Amino acid sequence: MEDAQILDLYFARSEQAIKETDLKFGRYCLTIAYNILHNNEDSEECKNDTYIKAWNAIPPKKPENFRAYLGKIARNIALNMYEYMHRKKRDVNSTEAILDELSECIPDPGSDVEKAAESMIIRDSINEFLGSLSEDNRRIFVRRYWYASPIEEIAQEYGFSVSKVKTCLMRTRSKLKKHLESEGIIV
Amino acid sequence: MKEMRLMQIIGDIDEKYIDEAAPAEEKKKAVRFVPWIRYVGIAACAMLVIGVGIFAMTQQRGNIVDTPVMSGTQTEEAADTSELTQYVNPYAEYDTLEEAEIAAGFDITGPDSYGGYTEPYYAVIEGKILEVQYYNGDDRGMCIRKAKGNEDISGDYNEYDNIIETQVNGNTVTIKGNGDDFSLAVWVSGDYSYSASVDSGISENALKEIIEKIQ
Repeated sequence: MEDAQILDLYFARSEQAIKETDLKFGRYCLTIAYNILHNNEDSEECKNDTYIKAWNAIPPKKPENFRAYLGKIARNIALNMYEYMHRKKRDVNSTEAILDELSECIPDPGSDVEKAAESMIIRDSINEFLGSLSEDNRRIFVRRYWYASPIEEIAQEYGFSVSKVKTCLMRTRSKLKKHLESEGIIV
Repeated sequence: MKEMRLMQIIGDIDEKYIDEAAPAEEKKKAVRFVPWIRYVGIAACAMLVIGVGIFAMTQQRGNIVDTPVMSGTQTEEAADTSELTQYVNPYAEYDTLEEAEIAAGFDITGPDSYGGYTEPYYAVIEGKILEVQYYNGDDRGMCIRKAKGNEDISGDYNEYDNIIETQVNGNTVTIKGNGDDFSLAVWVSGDYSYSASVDSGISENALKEIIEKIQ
């Protein structure tokens, strides 16, 4: 079913909307959730929470890119669940590794800045940075830090060796750090 | 945790980059055949489609697919498909107001736009409710509906703590909101029921100014 037709079902408040969404995007949302939570039950819960959010938002929201819209919601919910579980000391080691990698990109903390406006500035700067990368480097970076995919999976899907992926990520992180520093951004 | 903040900020990157890096899809699922095709057959479907075309041209009603009498030779197919012929698109969208009005069977007049919300979307719901929405990109500013009858067609079942009745153009209008921010107006005028809802509350007078323009 085309995205536009599925959105029609939301507007008509038809229960079929969720079924069709699950058919088309269920796996996508589950993958994103599982990459962060590493637990099937939690990932299912995250996926279902994503559908509830979408159902409540549409209408009037009418996402132009429905898959990315759902993906962002799922990712946010998963990250929140991760934080909650981390506080409860549940095992989420792989995600910790991803966050550890990112911690290298953050320059030393500076003064307090208005957080929301700053987040937008950082986001814009990251978009600019991503635009400057080669397609391969960018896909590897986004796949690792947006989708939280394991390195082995990235290597296999894109046809690179594991060590090439690791090296690429290391170099890109270093470039990102320099880019953020040069923009005077303090995270 | 600063890394978590960066992780969250990365969540908002350009959607084209998110799409570009998306995991490869699993093998395509088998096409789901709509079950009734098996019983009715492809030929009958073709008849249905042709019949619809002829019927639609004579009746000019875009959303109700109704083919009870196509032609003498088709009665067998018609009998098989009789229960399939009454399909009303729950939400039919149209590119122009004229097309939506023809589908609904009546006209509507209203404002051309609402503040910065200048992109109109026209639809007919359940074959009965004519809807005009005003968008700015992904955000909606206002939604107006009209239908025959006198029921509440707003689709808005929120609880409001401030509900007042007032007069506009000789009609009694019920306006609903919270405090001084009003989001919904419903009223009946002649044979038709109307609703106007704004996604961000406005003053009673501002809402009445909008209602005045709706016919």
